[in-house]
Amino acid sequence: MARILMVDDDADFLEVQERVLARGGHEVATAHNGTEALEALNDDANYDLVILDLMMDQSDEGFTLAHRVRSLIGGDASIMILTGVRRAHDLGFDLDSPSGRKWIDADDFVEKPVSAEDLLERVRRLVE
Amino acid sequence: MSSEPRQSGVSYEETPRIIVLDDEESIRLGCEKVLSREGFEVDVAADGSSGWEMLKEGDYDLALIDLKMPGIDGMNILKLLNENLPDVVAIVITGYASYETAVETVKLGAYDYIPKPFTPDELRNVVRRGLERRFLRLSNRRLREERERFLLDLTEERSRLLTILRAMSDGVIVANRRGELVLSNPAGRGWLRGDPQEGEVPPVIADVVKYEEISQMVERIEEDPDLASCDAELDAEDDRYFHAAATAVRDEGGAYMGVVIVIRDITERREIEKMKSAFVRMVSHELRSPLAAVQGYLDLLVDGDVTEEDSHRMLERCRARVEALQQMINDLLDISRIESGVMHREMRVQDLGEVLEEVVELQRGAATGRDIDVLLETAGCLELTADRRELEEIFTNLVSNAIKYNRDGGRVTVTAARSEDRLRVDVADTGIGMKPEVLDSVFDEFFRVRSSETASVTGTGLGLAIVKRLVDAYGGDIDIRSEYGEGSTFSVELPVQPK
Repeated sequence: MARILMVDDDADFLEVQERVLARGGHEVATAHNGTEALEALNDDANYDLVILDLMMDQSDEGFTLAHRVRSLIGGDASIMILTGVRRAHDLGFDLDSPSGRKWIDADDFVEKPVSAEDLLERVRRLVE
Repeated sequence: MSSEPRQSGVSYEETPRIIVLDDEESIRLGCEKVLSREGFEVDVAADGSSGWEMLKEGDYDLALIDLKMPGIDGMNILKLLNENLPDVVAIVITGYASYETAVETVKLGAYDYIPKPFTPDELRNVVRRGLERRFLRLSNRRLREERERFLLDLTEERSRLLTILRAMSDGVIVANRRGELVLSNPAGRGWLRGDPQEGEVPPVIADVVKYEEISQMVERIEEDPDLASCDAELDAEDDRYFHAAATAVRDEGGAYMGVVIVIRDITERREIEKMKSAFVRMVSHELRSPLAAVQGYLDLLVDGDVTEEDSHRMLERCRARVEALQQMINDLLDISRIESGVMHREMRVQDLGEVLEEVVELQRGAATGRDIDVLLETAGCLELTADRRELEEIFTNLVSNAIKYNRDGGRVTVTAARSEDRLRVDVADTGIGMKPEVLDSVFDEFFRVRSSETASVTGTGLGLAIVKRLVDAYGGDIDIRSEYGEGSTFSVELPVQPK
């Protein structure tokens, strides 16, 4: 059981994952964009895990968001990138290559779409 | 005697022109008679001054000159000829033939001399020799001129190539088989340190190139006899990208002669690649997001454990997302069709007023649901040549946006009128409007205004991108006026006759 903040601009996806995580016994808060996420963390940064979408509102704010989230939650908590973007050559990001992932300060990268079991398993590994 | 020139070994291209300068009338007449019979054109002058005037104008081949004459004497005529008309063959007629006179006249440029009195035969012989001399001289000069022209052509060829090389935007650097710099154009010199043109000894290319990649290519070419060419990318300052290609030059026997390096600015190509990559990333994001949502809902539904009410809502959401996905794919295909120019257009004369009426009618349902008034005001003849389906697509997108991004109880006003050879349509709404900073992005693919007010608005973010491309394809214009919180007006101008 972990405290999780999930950030995604897709309300349907957010609803689904919130239910999945809650069913897995986790306590879940949600944010629809970077601004909401930072507001939530400023109020209370006591999360075990923050799940971030990379592209929100068609912008790449998720890329820079990870660093700001990290500074708020500290090094003990985890960041999971949950994204539909596999590669962004224009941003130097590549999910498939260690060097292409390295510059985003995250503990795990998960590609959308993701099954419920898969998501719960990846979360378990991060928060244990 | 024949009046035809007797041709003794020499054939004249033109009738030779001869002038006789002598103050003795018998000599003038005698010479004229003898030489005319030979077929030559003969003029005479009785004194040096008039003789010189005739020589200047007459284009003569040969002059017979008496040394002793009133006015300008023979010696001075020789001098003048030598200075001004050196190709005219001068033959001196002299009453006191002596070795000294002969030497002196030859010094002054005379070709020969003939002592008085002389026989017609002596005259004919000396004149023929003189003419031979004259024509030999002319043909030699012609050959010399031809040769000079040929050399001139060669220099021109060389300077033409250098001009082309100099004007090239690609950098060109050439090294010989010892790796020494032998040629570079201005664009190429930008890649070299110092000004290698100045030095007397050609520098070794590896010592002067600014980028290691270039010397490495030269090295690879020098070391590998089978390597015909190789290339590399250079990251220069100012975010510019360059491509360098090195090609080995070999003689017919295959012996290595040197290497030619061509460096080209590929920044623009790179920018396009980046844009493509960003587009693919956005498409993949836009397609995966609804899929991920649908898959998530389906997983929840299959697992059970959702209330009747929730499951109904989730199925509705699934359907909405799948429909949006379908629309997105159609829009993407439209964009790619417009961009590739492969469109099956049926260009006919259309009544834009009629098209707008239909579009407004079809959208009215969505408007009345939210108590939005849609007004259509048309004036004058609104005929234009266009594809009906494309017109419908342009204005359906605009009217539908004006309704979607309106406030409940708002108004949409569509006005159309002709101005000169264009039709102008304004679609104005009383909706949420846009901030100035987003106006530039409005026609970008996937751009959508995001705010709490638009959270419930669905769309692909491709509608305006399609409208813009279609309007461009007709040679028309589209622009926006928008006031945040007040509303937006989209204005489209289409030519009556597209180009």
